[in-house]
Amino acid sequence: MRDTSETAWWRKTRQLALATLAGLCVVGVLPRLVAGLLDRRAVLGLPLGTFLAVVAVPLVMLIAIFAFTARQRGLDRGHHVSED
Amino acid sequence: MARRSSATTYGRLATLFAVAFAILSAILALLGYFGLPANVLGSVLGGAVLLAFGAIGINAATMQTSEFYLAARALPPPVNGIASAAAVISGTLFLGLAGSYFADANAAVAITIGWCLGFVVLAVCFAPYFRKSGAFGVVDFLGVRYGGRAVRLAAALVVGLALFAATAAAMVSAATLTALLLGISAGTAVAVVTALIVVTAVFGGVRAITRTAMVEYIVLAAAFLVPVTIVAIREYASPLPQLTFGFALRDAALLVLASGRDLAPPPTGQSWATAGGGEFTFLATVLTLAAGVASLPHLLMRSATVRGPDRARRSAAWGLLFVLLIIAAAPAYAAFAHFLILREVVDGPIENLPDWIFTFGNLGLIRICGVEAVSVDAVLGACSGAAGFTGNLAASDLSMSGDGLVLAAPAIFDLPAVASALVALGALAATLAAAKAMAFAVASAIGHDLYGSAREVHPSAGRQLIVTRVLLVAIVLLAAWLASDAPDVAFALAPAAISLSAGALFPALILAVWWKRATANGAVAGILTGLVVTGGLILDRRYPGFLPFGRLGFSELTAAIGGMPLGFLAAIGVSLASEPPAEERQGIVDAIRRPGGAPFVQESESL
Repeated sequence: MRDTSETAWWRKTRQLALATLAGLCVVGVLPRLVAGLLDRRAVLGLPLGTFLAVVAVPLVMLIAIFAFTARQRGLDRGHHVSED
Repeated sequence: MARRSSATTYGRLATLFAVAFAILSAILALLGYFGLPANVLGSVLGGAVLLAFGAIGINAATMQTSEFYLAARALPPPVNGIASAAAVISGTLFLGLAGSYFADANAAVAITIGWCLGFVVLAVCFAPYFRKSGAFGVVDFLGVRYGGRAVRLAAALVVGLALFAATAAAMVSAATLTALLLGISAGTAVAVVTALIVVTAVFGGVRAITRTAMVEYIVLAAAFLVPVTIVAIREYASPLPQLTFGFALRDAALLVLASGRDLAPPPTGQSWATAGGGEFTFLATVLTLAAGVASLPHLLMRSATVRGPDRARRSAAWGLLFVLLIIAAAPAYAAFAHFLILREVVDGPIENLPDWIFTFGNLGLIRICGVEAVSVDAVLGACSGAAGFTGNLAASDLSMSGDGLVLAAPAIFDLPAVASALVALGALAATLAAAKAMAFAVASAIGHDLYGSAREVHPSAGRQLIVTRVLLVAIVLLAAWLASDAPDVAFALAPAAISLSAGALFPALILAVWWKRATANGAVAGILTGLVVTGGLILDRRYPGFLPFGRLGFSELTAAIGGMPLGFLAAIGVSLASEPPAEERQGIVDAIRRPGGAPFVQESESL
């Protein structure tokens, strides 16, 4: 790394990557692990645990991945390391 | 300007193809309504679309190396996302996922979440850094980062082992579907598929693979989404099957209750999030897929075809969107099929079973009372001996292979014959796209990343191109041979693509970007350890007794749960035991991480 600004940028990049991955791992596996509790309620004809695992989680991941790309682009530009 | 012209080219191609495909499908549907036989419908639709695939591939032929290997690094992220999705959907997701929801919902939920996480890992951990490195493929990337010949050799070995059987399996599926659609023999179908892959990939490389992948995605998406959407509209007045399949599950459960008989619990009538399997299997599948999908060589190398790191990251996001369009509809197939089978078939007289039962029974996909449902007589013969037989079909008598569910769905949904041809064509498009992408990844890994980097040979760009093309033909022919000679072996080993990528490549790839202290020796140790352990567990699954200490119970897919941690341990341990990487090597890592500036490997150097 060339200077402190770039060091700070990499630190924030690492934090963003870790937060995104850890957050989505939890979001991905939690509904399955607590499905027994959630399935007492129904959404759109599905038990809640099933609804979250099959419908909501993939949608959350899709939104999160686009949000991540936008956040990372902002980070790159803010620290003047972007490709443009 | 170049970006706009590239987007325009792909946009025009997609629009023209989509319009022509829709018109042809509509005309054939009309002719089918007026009595054109189903086999003629399938032959005309299949023949026309396969000819279009071939023509688009040949039209994209190129002699420029950057076009051949990288599509000139000018693809817009959505186009690259479509090509990425087409390269990985294959028969596994197109045919297999809905079948998994039908047969083993726990596995299907894990597969859905694992694939989504895989694209997230790709976007977060690999894609931008891979693009910034300027590498062409996984082997090249690891070679650039770690330096030395051993890393390239070890990575090329994994790429070859991981993707070859999967290529052959995709070709088996493609040949079976071609034979079904065109009404030709299995041997001729293998020849047709081989010729199609060769003409579309060998002359145009990534440029041709991308253009054909885009139109293949249009076909597979239409084929997957149209039938299930029609049923959702017909049954629940909603054009969104992804949000209405819960009502079909509820109605199926009500039918079971209303029947007042001790019917077998329907596989889709219970909570899918808790059905079958344990937490360990679920977590192992999710983790293996997340790591394996992100490390798939033919997916990762697509990051090299866009203009910069940010676009590579966005390509992965678009890729997830296009994969999700398909996999989000998979549970609807299982739910609607289950509900309609219960409503239309179960509890009816066996003499009145619909024709599709016997069509798919003859393909070995449907069994009734323990025998393949090849005819009414065969079914009656098997069921009449059962206790409490009434002459009607009980739900517990019917057993359907998940693999056949999507192909049988148009008949189960009572849709016209053109829908059956459309679904078979969609599955064919998915398998062709995957086979091409995987075969090219292996050829490029050896022809460019390995042979092209050999200092003692120092081949010219033209020679590398010839070698890669010859290798591509050889790989496709070898895969065709395996597809014809031992299709069961190809199918059994196909899931190893994801498992071996996760077990052997993932640790070296993660450490390459995120740990500067990782050394070439560490990377080689990690790759080989992951390969041996994951490969050993896969072979133990196929050949019981292969491991001296007894079976550990991993599947082909979850074997990486053994290989991946040990791969990490070996890579980290050996790296710490070796001298730290030189300043120059650590500078390469900095350059790969930084989005701005020139790629580490300039195309002129590499070619």
